[in-house]
Amino acid sequence: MPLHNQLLHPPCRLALENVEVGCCFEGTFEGQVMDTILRWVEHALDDAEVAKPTKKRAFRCAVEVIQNLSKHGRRGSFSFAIHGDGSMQFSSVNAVDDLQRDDLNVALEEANRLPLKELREQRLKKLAHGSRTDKGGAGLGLLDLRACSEDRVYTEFIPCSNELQWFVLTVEVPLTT
Amino acid sequence: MNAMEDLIIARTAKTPEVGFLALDKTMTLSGRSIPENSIQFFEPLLAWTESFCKSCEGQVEVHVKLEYFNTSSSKCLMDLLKKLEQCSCAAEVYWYYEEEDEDMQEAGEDYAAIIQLPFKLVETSSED
Repeated sequence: MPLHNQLLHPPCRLALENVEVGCCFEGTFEGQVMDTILRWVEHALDDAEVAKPTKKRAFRCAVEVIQNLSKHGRRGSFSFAIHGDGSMQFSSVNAVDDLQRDDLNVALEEANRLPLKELREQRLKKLAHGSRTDKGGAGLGLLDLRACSEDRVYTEFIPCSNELQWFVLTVEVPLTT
Repeated sequence: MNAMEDLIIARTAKTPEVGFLALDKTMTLSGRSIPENSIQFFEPLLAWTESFCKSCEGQVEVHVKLEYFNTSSSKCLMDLLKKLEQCSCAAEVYWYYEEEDEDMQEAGEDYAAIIQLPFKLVETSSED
């Protein structure tokens, strides 16, 4: 049975208590839904009292996290939080089967292979010579999230049924100095 | 022979304004490029560039004034610039970034390191 036909409720993974602004959306990530969420994130960032470069980085992260959901999960949850100090978190959750988990682990291993200071060179090589993924992506999403967040990308797999697990991707965007 | 038509596309919330002007020999992208399907958006831009590059002469100016672009668009932009490397006329790229926007400045430097074309990084003020 296709994953999106199953009655799964991807949990919101961010604790939204004690945050300045927070939201969680659970549903199918496509077309207008994604546009609406991105507009909302952008409005929230506009109102946040943080430097423009931080806002721009945060928006870039939000775009990658949401579009990653639409490419790989379609049905899932997206949470967003702005903390009192201006730092931000984005988190997505979607169900994956064992095969998708294995593919993800390979991609994560590749993306995390090099230390942050060597990331730019890795992105350059991929940009210049990398091929498109089977989903039409550039294969740069995880590398970009690492760069944007200064290496604050966290992933985990949480069992949710006999055959599936939740893939949780959380990105923290620190204040730019 | 018919003159080549310009390619003009209005900006949307997720795609940039496109002004590819054959007679003026200028190509401008401005706004943001964050479509889910960047290949679909860039396909006509790549086709126009390929056609333009077959017969153009002299100098062509390429102005990239992007506020944001997603990683999928970054690859398409690379494809566009690589086509310009093969152009029969001499392309020069102007890459604009807002002051303090180190990410966009670095992105311009990255393209400049890969693409064998003259590249000028142009800092703009936030109010521009």
